[in-house]
Amino acid sequence: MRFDRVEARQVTKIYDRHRALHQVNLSLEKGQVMALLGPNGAGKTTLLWMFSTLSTPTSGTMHFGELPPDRAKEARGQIGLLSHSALTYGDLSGLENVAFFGRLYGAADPVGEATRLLEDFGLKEAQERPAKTYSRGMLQRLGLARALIGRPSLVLLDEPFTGLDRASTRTVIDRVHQLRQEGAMVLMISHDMETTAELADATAVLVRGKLEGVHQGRLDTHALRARYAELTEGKKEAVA
Amino acid sequence: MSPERSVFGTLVDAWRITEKDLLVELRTKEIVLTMGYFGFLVVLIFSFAFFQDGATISSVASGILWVSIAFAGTLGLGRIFEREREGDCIRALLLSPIPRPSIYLGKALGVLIFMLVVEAVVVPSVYFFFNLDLDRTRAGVLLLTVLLGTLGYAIVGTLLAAMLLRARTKDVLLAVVLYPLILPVLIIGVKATGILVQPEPVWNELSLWLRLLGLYDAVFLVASLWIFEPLLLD
Repeated sequence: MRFDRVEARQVTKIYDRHRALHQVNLSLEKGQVMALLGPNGAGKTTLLWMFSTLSTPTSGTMHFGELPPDRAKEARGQIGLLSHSALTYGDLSGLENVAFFGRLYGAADPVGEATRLLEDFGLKEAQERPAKTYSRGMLQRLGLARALIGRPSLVLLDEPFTGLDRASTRTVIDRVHQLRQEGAMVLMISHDMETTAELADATAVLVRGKLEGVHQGRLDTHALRARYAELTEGKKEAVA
Repeated sequence: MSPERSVFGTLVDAWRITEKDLLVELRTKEIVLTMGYFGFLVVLIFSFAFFQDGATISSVASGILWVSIAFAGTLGLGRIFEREREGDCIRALLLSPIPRPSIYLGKALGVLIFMLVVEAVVVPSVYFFFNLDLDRTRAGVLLLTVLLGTLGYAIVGTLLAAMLLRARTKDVLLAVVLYPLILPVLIIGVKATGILVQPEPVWNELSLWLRLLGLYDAVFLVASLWIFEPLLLD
């Protein structure tokens, strides 16, 4: 079931006695790339988990298209997630990994689609090798291929450029542009201001679990840094 | 359970997960070899411990068989979800559109297959070292007893291994929580096997134990399918 809007409404998340998110309101529309910025420990990854449905709010609701909040888990097949780790099996080859998840997502031709994705991400030569032999950058691209095998409506990227060289970074940037053109929503956590400025249609800044501001529209690197500094100054560590 | 997936679809998804676990195991061989080696050693050591007057005591064979299965099984359970934790693959599985019971059933079937492979070594070892004298009928019923017991062990063990997935001391905790719950399986297994190795088996009593074992499997399977999804939230 594809959806063209996601929204967090008054979302609060409390772990034990620690409040990771406090009454966050955030929405993404079809074809939008949103950058989620904030200092370490701001709650960015927690919010990403909320959008992935793998974590549920302590209070507030998550909305995926027309689905009622209590049926949010039905959106799972339409969400692609790239986490800090690739979420792949080290003893399976790159191709086996992506094809395995393709089968779980009901792909018509899992091996064919996996092969095409791996080729897109420059992993064709290495596709038969066990994933445990991949470099950090290769694993990151493999994780992205895995995340996209289900043709998701919502793509969640947690630091997607970590460990990537310039060429791989360009590959990922181009893919995010393509996802936008295809109408997917992309929510991306990144500390890389230049790449964020190039990709983001909107920017949200989270500090200590509270959404300090959402800017709709593009910002160049300079304006993005200034905006970030303005919202985070004196509240937590400075931007890297 | 996702409404758009039928029972057949759930089973197909479960098999895909089992298939993946079998493929990984075929490459690494770490679970089955470790379990098999350990299970065989337990039987071997006990065969020396119960060696008297030039022969082993066959009446203790039933207990040793089930102790060996239980200990070897714990080793396998510890690893089966560890593979999902490494690389955080469990999150990718949980995010996929397959019903959560598929994940549970797939992992449980994997545990069952690994344990049956190990038992293909352990059961003949017990037969050999403890000089059991079983005709074809009794051997067949013994295999049925082992199958039902192993099924119960896999059903409960997989659930507990999943529950302890993120626990720091899961290896210790698994044994602590597993054994009280599978005690009925072990007791019934020992009693049923004990009857089978007697010269004159009491078939009525044996039939009662086997029905109890089947009931245990059915009850815990239903309960596990019910509990598994909420268990893995957050």
